[in-house]
Amino acid sequence: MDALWGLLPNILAAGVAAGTPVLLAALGEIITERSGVLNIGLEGIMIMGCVSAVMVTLDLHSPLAGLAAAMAVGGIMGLLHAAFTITLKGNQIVSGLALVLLGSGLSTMLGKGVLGQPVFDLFYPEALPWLADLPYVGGIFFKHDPLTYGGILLAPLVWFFLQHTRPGLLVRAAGESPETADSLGAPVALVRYGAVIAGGALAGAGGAFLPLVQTPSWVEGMTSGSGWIALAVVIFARWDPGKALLGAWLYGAVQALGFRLQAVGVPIPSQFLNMLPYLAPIAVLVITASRSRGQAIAPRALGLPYERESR
Amino acid sequence: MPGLIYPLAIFIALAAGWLLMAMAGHDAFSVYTQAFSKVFLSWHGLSETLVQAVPLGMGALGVAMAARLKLWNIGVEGQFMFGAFCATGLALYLDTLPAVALLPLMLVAGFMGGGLLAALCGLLRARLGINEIVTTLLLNYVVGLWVGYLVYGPWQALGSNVPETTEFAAAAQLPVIFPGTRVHLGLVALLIFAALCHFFLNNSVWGYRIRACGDNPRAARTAGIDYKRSVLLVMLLSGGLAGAGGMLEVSGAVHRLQDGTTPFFTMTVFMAAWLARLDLAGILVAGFLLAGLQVAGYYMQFMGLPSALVTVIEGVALLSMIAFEPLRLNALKRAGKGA
Amino acid sequence: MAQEPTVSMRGMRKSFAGLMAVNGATLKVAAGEVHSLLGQNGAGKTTLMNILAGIYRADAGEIQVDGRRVNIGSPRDARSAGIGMVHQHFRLIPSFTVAENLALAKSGLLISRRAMQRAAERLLERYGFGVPPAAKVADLSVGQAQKVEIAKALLGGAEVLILDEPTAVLTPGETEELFSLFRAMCRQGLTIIFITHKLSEVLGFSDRITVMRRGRTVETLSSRRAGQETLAELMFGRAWDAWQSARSRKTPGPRGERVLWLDKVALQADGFSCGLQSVSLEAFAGEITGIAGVSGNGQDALAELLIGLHRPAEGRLTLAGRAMPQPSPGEFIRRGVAYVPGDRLGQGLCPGLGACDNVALKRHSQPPFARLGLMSRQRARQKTERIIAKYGIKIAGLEAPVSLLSGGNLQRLIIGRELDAEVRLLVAVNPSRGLDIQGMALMRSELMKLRAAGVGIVLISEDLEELQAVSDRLHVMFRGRLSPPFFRGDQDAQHIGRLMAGAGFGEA
Repeated sequence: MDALWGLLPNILAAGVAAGTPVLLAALGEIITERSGVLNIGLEGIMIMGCVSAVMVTLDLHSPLAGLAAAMAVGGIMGLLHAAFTITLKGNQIVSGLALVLLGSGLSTMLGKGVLGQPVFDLFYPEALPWLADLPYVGGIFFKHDPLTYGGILLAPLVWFFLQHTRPGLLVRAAGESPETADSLGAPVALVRYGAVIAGGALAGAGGAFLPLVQTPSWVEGMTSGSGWIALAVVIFARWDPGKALLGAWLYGAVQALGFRLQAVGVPIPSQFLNMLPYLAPIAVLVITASRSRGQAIAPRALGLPYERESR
Repeated sequence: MPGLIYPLAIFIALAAGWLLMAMAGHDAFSVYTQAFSKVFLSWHGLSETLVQAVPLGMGALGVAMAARLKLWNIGVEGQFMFGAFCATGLALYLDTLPAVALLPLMLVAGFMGGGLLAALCGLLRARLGINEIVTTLLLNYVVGLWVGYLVYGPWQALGSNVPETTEFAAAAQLPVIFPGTRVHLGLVALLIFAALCHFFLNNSVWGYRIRACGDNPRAARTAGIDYKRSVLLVMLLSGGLAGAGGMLEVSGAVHRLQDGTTPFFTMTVFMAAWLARLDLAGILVAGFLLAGLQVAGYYMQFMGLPSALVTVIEGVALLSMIAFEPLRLNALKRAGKGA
Repeated sequence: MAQEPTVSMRGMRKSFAGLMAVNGATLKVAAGEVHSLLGQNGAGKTTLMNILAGIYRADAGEIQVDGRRVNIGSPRDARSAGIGMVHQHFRLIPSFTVAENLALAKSGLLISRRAMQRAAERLLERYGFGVPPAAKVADLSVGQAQKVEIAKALLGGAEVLILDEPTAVLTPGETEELFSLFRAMCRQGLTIIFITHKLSEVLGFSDRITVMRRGRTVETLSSRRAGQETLAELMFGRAWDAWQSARSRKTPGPRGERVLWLDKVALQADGFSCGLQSVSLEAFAGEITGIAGVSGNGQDALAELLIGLHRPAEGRLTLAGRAMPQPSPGEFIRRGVAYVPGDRLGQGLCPGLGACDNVALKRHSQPPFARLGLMSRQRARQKTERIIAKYGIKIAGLEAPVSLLSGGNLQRLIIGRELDAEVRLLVAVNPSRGLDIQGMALMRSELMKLRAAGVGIVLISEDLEELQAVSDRLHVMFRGRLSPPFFRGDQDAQHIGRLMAGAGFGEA
C-alpha cells in the first residue's frame, strides 16, 4: 500500500495524459449534443482518427500533419452523420452505429499497409517552464505532451464558446428549442451541421492522441472503447465542459492505476485490472445519478430531428 | 414500392465494396460472383450460412425485443458471451448428466445469464435513469475480459496454450440436424424462439404492455401499466435471447468457449433488426442474408481480401437504408392513402 | 387612423396532408389599428397568421406590406418586412435567462453578459414590462413570459405584431393589463393583429374585426357596427343554434353519495409542475364539480392525483367511501374512475397503436380483453366496432395507428373507451378544447347524460364559460391551492376572475 501511495503522483500524472483522448472526444460530443444531435459513433470516428494520423505522420514525418489529417477525417465523418441525421432526418442512433461499423471496417482496411510500423515523429512531453517546478501539482499537470495541454485548454474554451459567444448561444438554442431558434431566423440546420462537424473533428483529434502519444503505431481496434467511455463522460458531466475534464481525468487515473498495479506485480489477473476503466464509468454514473434525480439537464431537443412544417 | 429500397441499399453497399476492391487492385466482379456462388449455390456454403444465422438471428431478436420499448440494447455481444459462459460452466462441471437434462439446463443458464446482465442495465435505466446505450455497451468489454480471464486461466484446456476450454462432452453438444454439415439443432431453436417472441408480443398481456409502454409510456402509466417493470422484463428477455444465442453457439457450433467472438457482432445484429424494422419474420430473413455475408467474408479472406471489407459493406448498407428512409415513408404514406 | 392597408393578404390557401387549413382568405389590416381575427377553433386563423409570419409557406396567394408585394418564405423574411408574431406556445427557451432569450434575436460574435443584461433591461423598461432580465424564463409567470415574448418581437423591429390567442393563458386581470399595453403600443405606431375565439374580447378592444370560418375569411367589420349576435352567426354559421340548445338542457340528477373526498391533500412539486398544498375537494354522484384556473396552477397534478398516479404527501384521499393510502392507476380504474386527459395523444392514447389496442388499454388484462394472460383480439375488435358505431368515429381501419385520426375523433375514441365500463367518477381535463362545434355539443351532452345517470364528475377546465354553464359547484385553483366551493347561482364571474388571479388566497 505504501508503495502505491508513493506512486500516486505518478498515477495521477499518467491519468491526466491517458484521459486526453476521452476528453477531446467528450468535449466534441458536448458541442454536438448541445446542438441537439446525438452522435454515438465516436468510437468509429476515433479509430479513423488513429489510422489516418498514423498514415499521414509516417508519410510526412510531422505529427502535426497527422493530427490535422485525423481532425479532417473526423470532421468528414461528422459531416456524414450530420447529412444523414439533419438533412435526411434519419435515426441518430442508427446512423451513429453505422459510423462505428464503417470506421472499424475502413480503418482495418486502410491500416493494413501500416500495421505494426513504428511511428517516430510523435508529440513528446515538454515540461512547462516554472509551472512544472511547482510542488506536486507541477509533476501532475505540467509535464505533458502538447495534445494533453491542448485538451486541458480546450475545456474552458468550449465553455466560453457555449456561454459567451453568439454562435455558442445559437448552438444551445438549437439544442434546447430549435423551433424558437428558427422563429428568430437562426439557421438551425447550419448550426447543427457546424456543431456535429466540430464534434467529429475533436473526436478525430482524440483518436490521433493514441498513436501519436500513447502507443506509437497502428493497432487494429486500438481505441478499445474510448469512444463509448467519452459518451459516458458526457452524461456524467451533464453537458458541462468543466466536469468533462474531471470525468476524463478520473477515467485516465483508473486506467493508469490498472497499468501501474500490473507493472508492480500485484497478484490480480490483468483482465480484472483492465476491467476497471469500463466499470468505473458505470459506477460513477450510478453514484451521481442517485444524487441528482429528476433534474432535466439534457438538451431538451437532443436526438430529435427538426422539421419546420411538422405541425 | 417501399420494398424497393432494400435491393437498392444492397446494390449501393456492393458498389462501395467494388470501389474499395478496385482501388486495391482486385477483380471485384469475380470476387462477388465467386463469393455468391460459394455461399448461396453450394451445399457447404448454404449450410455454413445457416450455422452463422443462429447467433445473428438470436441477437437480432434480442435487439428487436428491447427496441419494442424504445430501448437500445447494444450490449448483445456481452450478453451473448455471458450466456455462453454460463452454459459452458454447466457443460464443464455437470458433464455426467445425460443430454436431455444437460442441454435444457444449459439453455436456461445461458438465457438467464444474458438476461440478468441486461436486466441490470434495465434496472439502472428504470431506477436511476442511466442511459442503457452506454451501460450495455461498456459491459461488452467487461464480459470480454472476464471470458478472456477464464480461457487463459482456470478454464483453459489442460496442456494447451490456445485460449479456449476443452471440447464439450458429447452430452453438452447440440446434435447436428443435417448429417454431413454443421447445421445443428440451434436452427430449430432459433425458429421456435422467433415464433415465441411473436406470440408473446402480440397475444400475451405482458407483450401488450410492452407494446403500449414502447409507444407511449405516459399513456401506459395512466392506464395502470408499470413502466419500470416493463423495462426490466424487456431487458431480461432481450438479454436472455442473446444469452441463449451464446449457449446455442458454444453448444452447437464451437463446442467450447473461446476468447473473442465474431467481430462487430453487435453491429451486425443491430443491422439485422433495423433492416427488418423489428418485424420478427423479417429478422430471420435479414439474419440469414447477413450470415451469408459473413460466410462470404471468410471466402474473401481465402481470396486474399481483408475480412473488414464485409464490415464496410455492412456500414454502407446501413447508411443507405437511413438515406432511403424518407423515400420509404413517403411510399408508405402514398400507399396508405390509396387504400 | 390611417386607412391605407399596412398588410394585405389575398387569395391565401394552405393545405396539410390533403386537409385544407386555409382556403381562400383575404385580410386587410390598417396601420396603427388593433385588428381582431375571430373564429372558432380550427377556422384557420393561426395557420393564416403563421403564413404571414413565415412559419408556413402558402400554397397560393399574394401578400403585400406597405403596398409592396413581398415574398415571405421564412421567419427572417417576415421580420425584415416588419412582421413579428407571439405564438400561443411561447417560443422562449425555459432554461435560458430573459436576457439570453432576447439576445438570441440580435447579431454580433461575442456576448458580454453585462451588456446583454443592460440591453434587455432598457428594452423591458421602455414598454413598462417590469420583468427582471436575469431571471430564468422557467421561473416567470405566464403573463411575464408573454411580455418577454412581445419584447422579443419588438426587438426584431416588428411594426406589425401578431398575437395568437394571447389571453388564453391569462387571468382576467392580466388580460386587462395586456389590452391597455396594446393601446399604448398602438399609440407608439404599432399595428396589432390579435387572434381569438372569444367573442366577448373582440368588441371591447379592437378597432376592426375579421371573422374566419372553415379556412375562409367571412367578413371584416368595424367593432362599432358589430354586435355579439352578428359575430356569433358569422363565426358559427347554423351550428350556433345546436350549441345553444345543448347548453340550455340542464337537468340536475339526484345528488348521491360522496364518490371522492380529498382531505387537506398535499403533493410535492416536482420538476416543472406545481405541487398541491392542503387541497380539500368533494365530488358527489350526479354532480359536476368544476375546477377553474389558469393553466399551470396545479391542475395537472390534481388530475393525476385523482386517477391514482401520485401518492399524497399529506392528507387523505377517499374514493367511494374507501381510504386509498397506496393509490395506483390500476386500482383506481378497477374502482370505476374514468379519465379524459387534456393531452389526448400524450396521455390518453398510444398514437402508434391501432384503435383496437387503444380501446383495450385501460382493461387489457381483464375479460373480455384477456383471459389467463392471453389477449383476445376478436373481443377487442367487437368492442371497438361498437364504440366506433356509437360515437360516429371516422376511422381508416381498426389496426391503423390512431395518430392518423383528427382531434375530434381522438376525443370520441377516448370517451368511448372510458365510458364503456361502469363509471363512478369521471375526471375530465379541458374536454372540449380543440373540438369543433359538433364535438363540443357531443361532449357536453355526454357530461349531462353521465350526471343524470349518477356519475360523479370532476371537470377541470380553463374555459370559464363552459364551467359556469355545466358545473353544480365550482372551485378555483391557484398555485397549487383550491378555493372553497361556489354553488350554482352564486358563481359570479368577476369574483371568480379575481380568485384566478390569486386574490383571496391567503398564505394559509
